[in-house]
Amino acid sequence: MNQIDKIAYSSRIARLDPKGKLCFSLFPLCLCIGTRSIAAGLITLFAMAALTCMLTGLTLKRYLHFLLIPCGFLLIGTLTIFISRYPAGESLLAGVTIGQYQYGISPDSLFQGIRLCSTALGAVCCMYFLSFNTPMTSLFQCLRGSPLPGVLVSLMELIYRYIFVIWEEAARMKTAQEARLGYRGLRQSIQSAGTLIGTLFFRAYSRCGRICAALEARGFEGDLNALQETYAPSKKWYGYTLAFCLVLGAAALAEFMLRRKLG
Amino acid sequence: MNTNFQPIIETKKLCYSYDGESNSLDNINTVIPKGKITAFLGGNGAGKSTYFLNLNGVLTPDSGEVFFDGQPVIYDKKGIAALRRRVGIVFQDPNDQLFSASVLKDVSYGAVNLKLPEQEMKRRVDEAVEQTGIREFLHAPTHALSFGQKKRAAIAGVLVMKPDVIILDEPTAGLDPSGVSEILKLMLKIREEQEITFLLATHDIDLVPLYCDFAYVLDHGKVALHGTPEELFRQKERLREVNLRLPRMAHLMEILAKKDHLDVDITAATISKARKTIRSLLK
Repeated sequence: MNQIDKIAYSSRIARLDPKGKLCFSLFPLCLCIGTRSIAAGLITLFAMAALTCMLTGLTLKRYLHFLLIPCGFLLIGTLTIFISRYPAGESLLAGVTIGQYQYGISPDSLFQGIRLCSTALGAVCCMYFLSFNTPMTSLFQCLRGSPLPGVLVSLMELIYRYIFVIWEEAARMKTAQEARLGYRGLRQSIQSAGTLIGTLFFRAYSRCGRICAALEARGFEGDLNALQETYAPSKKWYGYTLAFCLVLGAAALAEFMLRRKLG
Repeated sequence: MNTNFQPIIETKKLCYSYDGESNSLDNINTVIPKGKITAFLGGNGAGKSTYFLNLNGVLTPDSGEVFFDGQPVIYDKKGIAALRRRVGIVFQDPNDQLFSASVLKDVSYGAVNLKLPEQEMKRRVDEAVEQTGIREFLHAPTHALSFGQKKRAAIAGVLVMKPDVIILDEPTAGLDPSGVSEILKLMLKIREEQEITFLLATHDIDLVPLYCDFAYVLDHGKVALHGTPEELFRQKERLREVNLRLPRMAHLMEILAKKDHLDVDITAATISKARKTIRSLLK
């Protein structure tokens, strides 16, 4: 999480108006999921991955490393789609017969599985494009202009800010515990982790009071108003979005026609 | 204490208690001179922070009066808002104060709350950013700043409100030596340029003779001592009673006078003054 945050701030388009980036990631995402086309999914996957690497300066290896996390979930999720139970005698690509049923992969389940994987990965890469290139603070600013209630956005901002503060505090406490052999053995580890979390709650609570006093001292009246950041205009990205969506739409249509032809 | 200065804040018999029983502030009488730097000394729990929060209106006194620029402060919504505009606090832990992940947003927060016209807000933010030297971090996320940089950002966040008084709660705690002198120099610079009155709480007694014009010592919610640094350091025994000590230089002068029977100026509390008195002995 900390890593992604750093990448987002150092992206070449970090200071661009988040609206353009939001468009460029959300519309293809919807198309991917909406059309459920393998071609559209794969094109999105490769295009978004290449673009993200180019703009953030990430190596492909590191990008793939980040992609491993959702892949883990995807694997578990699609396993049951790839492999099903069939009556004996049906032609399968691979499978084993146990009793009167056979378990394995049929051409149809293979197609369904690949379809799901490509759309899901395409969608993930869209989200990665957004989160690797957009600092959270600019997203908050974008949300402020949306119909979302202001208090919700304020809460998001505060939570985002204090994740880092509390994280650092927890890390310092853990180091201090480790320095006194707090994590030797499972029993000791569980006990230490328990006290750490408990103390963290108390500290967070007392910090809450101090934050409140500090906000009030600067005239807090229920809202976290501040000057808006100015961003470079992102009109170009609306054009890119349109072009990319057209490509995806064409690919999805072509795939659909091809499938109809093949029956 | 001499009286030929204009007070900006005065408190008379100020009392405050968190739980309604034990007084955290017990009949505090203080006079804060305008345009000067006044130190507040005292151990942890002596009541320094409570006193400051009363001055800014985050806490409302149980009894007693606070005067700002000669006018009694009325602790209603309007009075508190006016007080907060004129008295800014920089808290000890900048993480408590910097609530936004964007430095720019945090710095502008107070100015936006004053509901100023946008042009004026931008001008003030720009000025505060320039003064505190945080321009290069303005677009960095708050959590990527070092402690000293956060501290300066917190000061900028108070400066945009253009207060008459700035309270610095432990401004040097947790900073490295160069960070300490940077912050204190920044304080002197701001005072010079804008004639802002400073109140600072500190444990670092050595900086009192160097930077402060007056000092109050609080102990268990009461004013134990007050006066100019020289007046304060003459009352060595009383200082030690409230768990404080002399500045190192003043301590050295005390030892030279007492044990070595040298005729040094025992109120010399800074290196330059100590040097002067020792040189005059050598002549």
